[in-house]
Amino acid sequence: MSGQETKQAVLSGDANRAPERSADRSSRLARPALFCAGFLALLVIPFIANSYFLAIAISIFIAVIGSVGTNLILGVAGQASIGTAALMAIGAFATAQTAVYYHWPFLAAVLAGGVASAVIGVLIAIPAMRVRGLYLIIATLALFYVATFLLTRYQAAKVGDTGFLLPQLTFGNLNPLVSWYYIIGAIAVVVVLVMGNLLRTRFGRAWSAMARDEVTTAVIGVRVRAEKIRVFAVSSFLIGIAGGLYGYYTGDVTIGVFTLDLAISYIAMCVIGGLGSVAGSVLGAVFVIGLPYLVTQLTDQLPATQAAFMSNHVFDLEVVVYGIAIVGFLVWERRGLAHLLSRAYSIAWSRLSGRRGTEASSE
Amino acid sequence: MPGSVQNAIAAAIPLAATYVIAGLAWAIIFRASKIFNFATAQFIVLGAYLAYCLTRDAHIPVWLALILAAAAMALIGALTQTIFMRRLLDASGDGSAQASFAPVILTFGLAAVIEHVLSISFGTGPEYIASPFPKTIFHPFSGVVLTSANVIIGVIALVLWGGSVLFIRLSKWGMQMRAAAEQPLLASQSGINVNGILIGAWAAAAVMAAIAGITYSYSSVVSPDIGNIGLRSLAPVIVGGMDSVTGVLPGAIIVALAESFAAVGFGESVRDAAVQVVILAVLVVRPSGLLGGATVRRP
Repeated sequence: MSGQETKQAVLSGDANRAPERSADRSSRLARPALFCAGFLALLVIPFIANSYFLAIAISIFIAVIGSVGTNLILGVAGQASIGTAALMAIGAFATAQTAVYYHWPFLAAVLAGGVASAVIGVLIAIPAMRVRGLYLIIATLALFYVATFLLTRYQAAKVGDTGFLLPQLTFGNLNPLVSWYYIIGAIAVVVVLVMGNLLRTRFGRAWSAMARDEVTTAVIGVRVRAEKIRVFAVSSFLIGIAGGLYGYYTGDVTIGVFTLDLAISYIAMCVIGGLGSVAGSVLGAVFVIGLPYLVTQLTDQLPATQAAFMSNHVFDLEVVVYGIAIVGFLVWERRGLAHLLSRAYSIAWSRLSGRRGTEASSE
Repeated sequence: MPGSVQNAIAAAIPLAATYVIAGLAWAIIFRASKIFNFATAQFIVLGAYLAYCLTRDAHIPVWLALILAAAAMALIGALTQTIFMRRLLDASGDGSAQASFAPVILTFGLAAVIEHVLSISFGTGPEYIASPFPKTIFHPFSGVVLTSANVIIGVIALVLWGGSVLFIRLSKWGMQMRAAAEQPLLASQSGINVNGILIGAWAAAAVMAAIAGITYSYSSVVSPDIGNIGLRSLAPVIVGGMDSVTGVLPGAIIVALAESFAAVGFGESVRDAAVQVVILAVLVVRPSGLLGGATVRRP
């Protein structure tokens, strides 16, 4: 493919976003209505869902916070970081430390997790000035191993294999699962809304410009170094919060759960949902976290021998499926589920309103 | 303690040999297409399992199994480029950061698929391949003990390294590969089959990974854990210089020595961390490594 053609492809890639907006304009009321409906659905779910489903929903909320943070650094700012598991571990350990030993209240401890993770994130940003692009992957991978090593030592010295047992939150007479659902759900919704808006501010614009071309971004007056530090801090803060919430929710923080597979599952969320898209982070989290439960559900429909095979290998199958999804989306649809859904949405909308949508005709 | 110094050196020699072979798998792909193949670790494990299956089920002699497994891996490497990487490298011309690391993320996806398909097929229990090498023991220096397997694998590593270096420096294909890595567009317009070159590079890298995995499993076991050596072998490549195939050998020796001395001095548990500290230090002090060319960015 020649450079000219490539450029053309990029331009049309950008142009594909514009029709979405024009479709929005034609459906000015539909989008907010959809959001309100979704919000109401989130509110009433605890009244109709069983506790199994609630537990899945809480895991998804935590993953949404983490994947929004990961997607900010990976998809928006274009910094190839695979440090998510390390940053989550740092967040979880800082939360455990402050909650168990300093007796900080829930929110303060979780915030401490976010801040600790952000500090480490800024420390990564400093080599990120020096090492560019792919070298950053190596640096964050090295960070993962060093952090795992140090935290394993720390855990062994403090509490041993059982891990840090966090104080149980009490909710009076309320069902703890439902309370967790509302607390973590509220934080996830706030994170999603704030990030959606942050990306439209001058900071968000600067971050995505940086991913396109650092030199040009600097020329138009963005202080690239400062913005890089800022985006690492914000992203790591969110990932740390996700780690802290995870620790508090499960009640037990051990280094064993923060594996490279976990980091890759967060990258999978971003790639499957759509790099750089907040809606994509949410969809990716739902896909990756919901997948094993879907596999389990499917298992019940199968004959006994296959069902036994499936249930023996649920974890492996899950990773295989999202590994295939990473490869497939990268090769065939780089913009992820978010793009597929929004296309389906605008086609459906144009059919409903009896007009040929710009999107449908341009494709 | 002179005894521990000798222990460390004796441990470093076979490790360095494995690092050279596995490091070549990383460096060849990076040299050809400027990406990291994070499925290298899984290629290593896959190669070892293929050899294991051939010896166990087909009762093929161990040395023939090595060749057949390496050939099968060459096919898998070539297919990876043909089916997946080609499409992504086509799209990476748009210059955005996301497009430049998409192929690397893809190799993570590939790694996850291979790793867990293997885990479904073989479980995690260790399997064994008998070593085809005689069990002679050498004492090159007082206190340093080497088996003949160590020596033979060391020679294989040196031959593969020397062969790769000479091939890339001197042969027509090697020159085309360097041209394709530098300026894919220009290379393709001057009649070089860039895709063909990359297919060759992926096949060669997969062969290196298979040889590394199989020879390592002779003295160890066949299990998913030997993929560990694959991720660790990135360190010698970084130390030697990512885009320098020549640098793999000095890099492997430095990392193997650093690792073995750290393990002897501070205990086995610091081994992995020592490797990572070496990587971080190189990245901060001299990102291009010992022999790598400094990258110049032009807007």
